[in-house]
Amino acid sequence: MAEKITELTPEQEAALEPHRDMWLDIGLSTERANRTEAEAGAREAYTIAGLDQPEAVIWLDSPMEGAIGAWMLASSLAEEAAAGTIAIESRPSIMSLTDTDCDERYPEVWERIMAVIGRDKDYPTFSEVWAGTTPSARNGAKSAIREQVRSAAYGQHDAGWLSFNDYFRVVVPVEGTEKLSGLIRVAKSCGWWWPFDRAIILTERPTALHLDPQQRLHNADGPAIEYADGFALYSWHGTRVPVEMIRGEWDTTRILQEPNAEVRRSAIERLGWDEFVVEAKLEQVGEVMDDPGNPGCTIALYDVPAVIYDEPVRVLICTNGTTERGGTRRKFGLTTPVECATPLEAAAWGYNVSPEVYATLQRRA
Amino acid sequence: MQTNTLTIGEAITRFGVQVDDHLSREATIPVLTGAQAQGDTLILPAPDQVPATTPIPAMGVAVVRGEVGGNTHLLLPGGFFDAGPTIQDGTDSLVLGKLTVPQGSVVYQAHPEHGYAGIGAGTYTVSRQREQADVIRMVQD
Repeated sequence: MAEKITELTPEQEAALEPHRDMWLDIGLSTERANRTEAEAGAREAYTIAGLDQPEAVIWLDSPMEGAIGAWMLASSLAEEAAAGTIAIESRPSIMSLTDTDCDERYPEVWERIMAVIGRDKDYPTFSEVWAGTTPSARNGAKSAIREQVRSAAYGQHDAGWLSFNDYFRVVVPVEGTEKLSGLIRVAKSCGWWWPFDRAIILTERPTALHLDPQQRLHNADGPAIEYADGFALYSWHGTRVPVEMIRGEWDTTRILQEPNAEVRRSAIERLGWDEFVVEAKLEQVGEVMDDPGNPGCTIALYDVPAVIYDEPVRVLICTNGTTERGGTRRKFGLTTPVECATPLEAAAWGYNVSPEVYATLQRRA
Repeated sequence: MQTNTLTIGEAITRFGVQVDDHLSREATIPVLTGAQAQGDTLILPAPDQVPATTPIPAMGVAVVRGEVGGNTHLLLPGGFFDAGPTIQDGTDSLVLGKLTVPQGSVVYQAHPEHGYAGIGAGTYTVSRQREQADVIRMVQD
């Protein structure tokens, strides 16, 4: 057992943020794949794993195409094996490479690393693509395709765990991590991929990817992530939603029928709270009040029952302090705890100040 | 009001920070020493606080950074800003930092959609806004 690493040098610590940023760029890249490098990386992974080189390299456009292609390839290889024309497993043990047991060697620095990368650690983008491919595959074809989603290597979407090990490969370095060099080259070069004994399926990166400022998949006007073959996912601030919702085709009735609370909430935000409180006939709480610092505008509070929002909240309807193009002012809703008894209390809660302090607001722009 | 107030057009010329073109370039930017909100940020007088000591650099300080560089609340030079803790889990403070504007100076906070906010002499906290969801989350304007 090699010596344990218990702390990082200042130089190693300084390398954390640039390393994180590099891997974020890899994971979120929408560049076309570097096909030469991806193939070379995949071949290197085969070599490191002690496997024969694959004969064929197949490029497809998305994780969905890849999963379907992998299912077709696995089926045909299984048929050949059954017929005795090949006597090998249909899938090589590439993924055994991931067993570096390096994790056990640097647990002490884990907390320190999480502190540095902490603000980006909630990075659901990759798992969302995974979750998006799975049910689509279920709808599209056989559960066998879904199985291919689970058995894929995720290329750029392996950024999460590969970045961690890559840090210890490049910056520290830790013996054993060099086994990952082929997988890392693939991750830096393309999207999901499927290793087989005699062939590799490699796939392209997305053509477009949209995030909100909190780095969650989000696009109010179209797909949040899109591939060249048309495979796309729709997402509202990190909640995966149906395309009809993003297109604005859901009315209040449809929203209230939605069984998933997260999707329901997203749809209300998409429709606009000011419209929703009227349509859903929500009960007003307290009087309508003048909006401090926003002359001529008012604030009003409404009860949002738990059946709508999965826990009881209230919603404060406000008017933007700045005019929109065309001279109108946008109305918007802010959700608050039920403890807020008046619009002023609700507005003050939003900034964690007292109602008395909020009432002194001189300008709300 | 200070004597050296700027219009939005003059502020764009001076600081080079553009705002939406439907906001009137002739409008004078109010310079206030009381509480004021700009979108999802609140600037609140904090006269009892020890003044901030970190000079705001020539490029300004992004107190809330928006999506791909847009919709950033940017504090412009002319004062001091000590960045403070941001919210972690809803129980912490919403305070982004502490701003001090020296006597005779004005600090402007720019935002593409909300224009400019003028802040007169004094010490302030700059906070952001939250809402109630499953977990308390930050407002994105």
